[in-house]
Amino acid sequence: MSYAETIDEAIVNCKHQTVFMQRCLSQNALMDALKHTSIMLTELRNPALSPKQYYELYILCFDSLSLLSNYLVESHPKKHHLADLYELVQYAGNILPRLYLMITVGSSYLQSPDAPREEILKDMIEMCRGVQNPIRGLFLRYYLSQRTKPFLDNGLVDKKFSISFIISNFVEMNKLWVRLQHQGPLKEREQRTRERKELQILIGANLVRLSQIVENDVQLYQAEVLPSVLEQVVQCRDVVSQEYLLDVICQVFPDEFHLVTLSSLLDTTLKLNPEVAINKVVLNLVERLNGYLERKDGSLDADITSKLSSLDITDNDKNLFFVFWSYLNQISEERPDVSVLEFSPLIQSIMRLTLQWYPGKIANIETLFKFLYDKCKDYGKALPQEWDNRFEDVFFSEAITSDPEFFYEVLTKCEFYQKLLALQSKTLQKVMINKILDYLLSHDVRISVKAELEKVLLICEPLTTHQPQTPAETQSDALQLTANTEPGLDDWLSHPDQEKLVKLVHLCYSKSIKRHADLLLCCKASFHKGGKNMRFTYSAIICTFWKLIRRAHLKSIKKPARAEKLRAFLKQMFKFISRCANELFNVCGASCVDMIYKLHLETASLADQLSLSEIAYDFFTQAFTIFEDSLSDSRTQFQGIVNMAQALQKTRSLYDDSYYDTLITRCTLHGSKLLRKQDQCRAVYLCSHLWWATEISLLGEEEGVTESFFREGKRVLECLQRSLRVADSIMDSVQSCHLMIEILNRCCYYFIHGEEQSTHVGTKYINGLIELITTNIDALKLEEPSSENDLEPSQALYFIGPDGTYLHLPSNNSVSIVTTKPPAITIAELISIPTQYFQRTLDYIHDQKDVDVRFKAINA
Amino acid sequence: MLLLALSDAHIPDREKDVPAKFKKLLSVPDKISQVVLLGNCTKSLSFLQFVNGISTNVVIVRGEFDNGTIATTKKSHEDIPINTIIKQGNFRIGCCNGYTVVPKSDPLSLLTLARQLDVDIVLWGGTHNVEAYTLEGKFFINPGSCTGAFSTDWVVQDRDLVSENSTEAKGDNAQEDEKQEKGQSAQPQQDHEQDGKTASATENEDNVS
Amino acid sequence: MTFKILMFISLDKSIVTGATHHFKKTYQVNISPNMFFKSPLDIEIHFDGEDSRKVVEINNNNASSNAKSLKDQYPLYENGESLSGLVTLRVKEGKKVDHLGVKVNLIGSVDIAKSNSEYKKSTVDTFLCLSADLCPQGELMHSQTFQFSFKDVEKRYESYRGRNVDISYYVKVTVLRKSTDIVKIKKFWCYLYKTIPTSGPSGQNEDAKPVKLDIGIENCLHIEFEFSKSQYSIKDVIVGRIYFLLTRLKVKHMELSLITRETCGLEPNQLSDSTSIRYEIMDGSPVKGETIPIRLFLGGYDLVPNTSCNYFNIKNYLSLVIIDEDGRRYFKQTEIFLYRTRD
Repeated sequence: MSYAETIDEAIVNCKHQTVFMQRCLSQNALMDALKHTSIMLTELRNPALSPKQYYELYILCFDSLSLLSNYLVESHPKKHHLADLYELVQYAGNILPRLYLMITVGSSYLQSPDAPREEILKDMIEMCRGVQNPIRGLFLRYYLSQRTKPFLDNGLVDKKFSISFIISNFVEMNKLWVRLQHQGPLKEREQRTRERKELQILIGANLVRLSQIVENDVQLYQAEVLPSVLEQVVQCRDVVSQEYLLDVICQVFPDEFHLVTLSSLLDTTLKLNPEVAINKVVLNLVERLNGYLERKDGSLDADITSKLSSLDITDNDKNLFFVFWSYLNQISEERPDVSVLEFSPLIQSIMRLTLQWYPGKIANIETLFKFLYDKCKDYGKALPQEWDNRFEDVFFSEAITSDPEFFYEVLTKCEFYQKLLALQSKTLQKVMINKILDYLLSHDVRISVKAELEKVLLICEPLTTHQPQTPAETQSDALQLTANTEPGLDDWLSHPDQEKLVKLVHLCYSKSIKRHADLLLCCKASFHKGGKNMRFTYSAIICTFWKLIRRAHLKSIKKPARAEKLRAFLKQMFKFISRCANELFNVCGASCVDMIYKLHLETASLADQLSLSEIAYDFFTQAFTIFEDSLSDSRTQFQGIVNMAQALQKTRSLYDDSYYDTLITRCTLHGSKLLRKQDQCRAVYLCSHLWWATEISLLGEEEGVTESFFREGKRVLECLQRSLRVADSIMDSVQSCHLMIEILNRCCYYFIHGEEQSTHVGTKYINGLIELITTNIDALKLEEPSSENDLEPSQALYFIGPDGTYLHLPSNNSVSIVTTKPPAITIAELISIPTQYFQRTLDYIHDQKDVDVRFKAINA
Repeated sequence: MLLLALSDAHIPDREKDVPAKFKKLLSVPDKISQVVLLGNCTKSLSFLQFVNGISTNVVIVRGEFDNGTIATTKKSHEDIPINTIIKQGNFRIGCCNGYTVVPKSDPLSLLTLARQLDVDIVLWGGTHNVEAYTLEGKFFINPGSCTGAFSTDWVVQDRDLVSENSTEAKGDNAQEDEKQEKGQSAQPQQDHEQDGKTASATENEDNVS
Repeated sequence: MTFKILMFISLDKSIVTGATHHFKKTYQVNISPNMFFKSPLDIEIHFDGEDSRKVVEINNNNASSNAKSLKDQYPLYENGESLSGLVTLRVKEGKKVDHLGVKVNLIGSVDIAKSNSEYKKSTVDTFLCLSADLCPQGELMHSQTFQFSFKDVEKRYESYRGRNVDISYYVKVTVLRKSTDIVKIKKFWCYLYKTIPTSGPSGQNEDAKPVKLDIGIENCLHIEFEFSKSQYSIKDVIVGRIYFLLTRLKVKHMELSLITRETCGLEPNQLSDSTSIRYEIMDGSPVKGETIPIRLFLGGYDLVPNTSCNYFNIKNYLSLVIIDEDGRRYFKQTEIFLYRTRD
């Protein structure tokens, strides 16, 4: 009698034999039924089946044997005695069918109340040893387990006996399972591993059974079950098995058990095959313990506390974390082969655990970071770059980042967080600092304690001092406005790190102005280490001081009692600003003079608003010094003067001590000395406004009501005249003409603003100017010889801006092209610029006649 | 057709980011066809990326704290103009930061500018205050600061007293409130154009149809 | 555990079994009369209480083609038991038979085949021959019945039917005549029961002690083979274990065999081994440290107790056979002593 060649034949055969068996049973021909059964079981001897096929066959046989078993139970002891049958089936010559039959008969016999149950069980399990082939043995023992299940569960057998029965079956199955790995040629190892994983459930089922029997008897579990199971886990020394079994242990037994037996579980992990990822195992355990807490609604109730006390640690201060912590140290000692890298996920999981169990216990986190720090130190060399990813997870593990407040606490309270970070590769440090900054910023973490700020700054130190990476790295194709690669130094966009660093300043806040200022100074001290990077960082400090100054000022108004002190400190803050500006100037020099200049202007304006005229004056003066000494580019100079004029025009506190007079004169003078005539012209006519203060409605000023405006129409006219002279002297007649029209517009401004006796800009003057311009335009048209017919303007439009740039709005484009040089266009088109501008101005004057009768005197 | 005007972000010098609400409001892809940055918006890469996400059609004019040039995909070193003109339908819109307009934000000065550039609408910034008015048939819009950044311009003394009160009262949240307030005040510009409540927006929509 | 029905479930062609079906039914013994001669007289032998006597069923390995059944059945007697019965001489109707007397013999003999090739066995020793006269010379006119009785017959050997040797017991009735005698024999079977060894003397302890065998192939296999004792009743159970100390061999399976060896004749001995039991005890290849249990119920098999006499002996061997994956067989035999006990 032999087995079939293919699985299909085998299945057919099994089905046939089952039918025969049933027929025999219905005729009470037990012997024949047994014969068919054993023919069927012979199929299970086939060594060529894959685990899946074998399983399929096994299921068929199982069902078939169930039918037999039912018959046996029903007919006992009327037709036969199961004790006799138990011996009878022993005569089967082949072991595998013999044992299947034996188990079938034996388990049927177990149902009889007078059966010597324990004896039968012992005998069956002992006899199973005869099958040493892994797959056949596994299924046979699984069959034993399935058949005996009802008797072990229902208390028919002593609980301890049941447990030892299941455990010994488990041990044998596991051995077979491990042995399967070593079957067949070496090159099929991977396939073996795959097959083993397909079969793992057979072994795991034993542990499930155990958990069902143990129920909630912790003592039993701790004293009997777990030690035996773990012993097997350790002894088998097989990676797949150890990983799987520990996982199953974690899954199938109740949380409380794990809590109580934590030490032995952890001890076990130390004894595993070195190839086992301890991480994975511990991770499971931690997940389980954390899950326990969740299932218990997160509270450490009395129940758990008492369970905890059963851990073999006596000290009250010591707790679950302590157990894991000792464990870490133990691994570190006993398993020098476990690398820092492998520790990192472990640390992370323990971190998660401690935070779940002891929320907010920062000391635990610190301990873990210190541990890693020591490990990294011991490593001796620079940490390999490949580790970066892992460490990234450690520094930014979900456990510590889920709550911004807590993460902030970690950053500021854990000394070793920073120390560990400092041991990492430069690249990683930068990545991490960026992440940390992003995190702090996106969560709006508020820094209000100086010591904490210092910690954060210490962490960021590599960013403050380190020279930024090459800009190419920050470039992104998707971005139209990308980082500048060019001269580099000045470009903020190429330093996104610095941008984040700067934003740190805005996270600083204290209700106390003095303490807030302290925080800023602290930032300043740190940023100062950045050398040239200060050009990115310092202006934020200055700007924040502005805010602080205004805050101090408002507070001083609100709390007159403290006003004096506040004002004193407020002045002090202007000194801080000045100090910042000086440091910036000294270190960065030319690369940011323009910015320093403008910062001075704004600071001066601010001081002016607070009626600190001396300070305002001082800052304006310094701005002039910078202008004179360092602003060299002519366009920058022009804009600088205009900007200065704009600032000065809004000041109100400088009139005393003739500060204002000094400053505006100097400003206008600088304007008139600009290199390019057109700049001179524009600067001067714009400076005319310095003698014509306009209302600042926020201050309650009102045109026509307020009498105290600083206005000197004579000077206004002087400026306009001076500017017209310059315009007239410009050789480029288009430009000259255009500037005159600009001045005409300026005149209109003053004309609207006041009567001739105050502005000195009157109808006569304007009419004269219009006449002059008309003449010049006519002269311009002479320059263009082609007929006037061609003057019909093309679709394209050209303008000259108030800063002298040429704006070209092509017909096919929605955005103008702006150039400093005249575009390459026909003279006719060029001439049309002032011509049309003039026309628009005249139209405007014309329109004004309806509104303002005075305009009627103008010949337009 | 929607055009978004943003001004005076001052990131990272004065503020760390655009308020989240504002950001959320704007993060609707393909809704806004053009963005104009009216100065002091070019120092933050993250801000520029955000703007680029709104629309790839971005027009920039220079504020006093902007560099003279910026890198674009077309050109690594493109000049940022002080004034520029954009055309939308039959309208021409002049854009400037206004830091070269003297007196600052003076309506007549701005009108002069509008005349010189022959535009129908003037978008300007630099004051951090929202303003919108018509003058001589031209429309003037200042979107304020999109971040609620600090300004060294004059402030209303009384209002500041109130704001200081709230600072005291609300303690730690004061900073946020201020931002929110300014952030919100920056929004109407956007809303106007969307809702078509203002002349300019209505006109714009007409143009398209 | 005892049970009345025995069945061998044969599962593999490769396993040859000597097991037979036994049924606890009494069969009518049916020995066919000699048909070759037209005997004028039929002799019928009937043992007393034959109908209720236990019978033994023996394989008919004489292979005589005319045998109707492969099994012969014989009534069972034991040593010292008396054997009595009736002999009926039936004369054919209308005939009369002259004879020189009728006698009855009880004979025990050893029959040996001369060589392995020759099938026919001949008697080499008649170790038992009892005789009694039933009837003096005379004439049989009609059927007549005689009683016979052998009291307390000593039966030295157990009946045996082997390949080369038989030990047979039979009752032989001879009607002596001037011409050919008319003979009728009736076989019966004899079992010798050993008394169940009682505990006590040292000899018994020896038997009860487990037998340990240390066997192996150098650097390849090393096993310890242990079983409970060296002497077994033929209804006994062999219990033991195999402990693997070293296995480098890829074992496919392992069997236990019981071999019965019949030795007879002078040098060169005529040896005849027959495998009584083949029993698979292990499937697959064990690793070092594994222990494989052995439990072999002998009761279901027809086994022969150890026997020895001047002319031959029968010994039993337990053989452990290991078959490796390449089909090689490794085995170790050890003698065990089988004896018969009363059930």
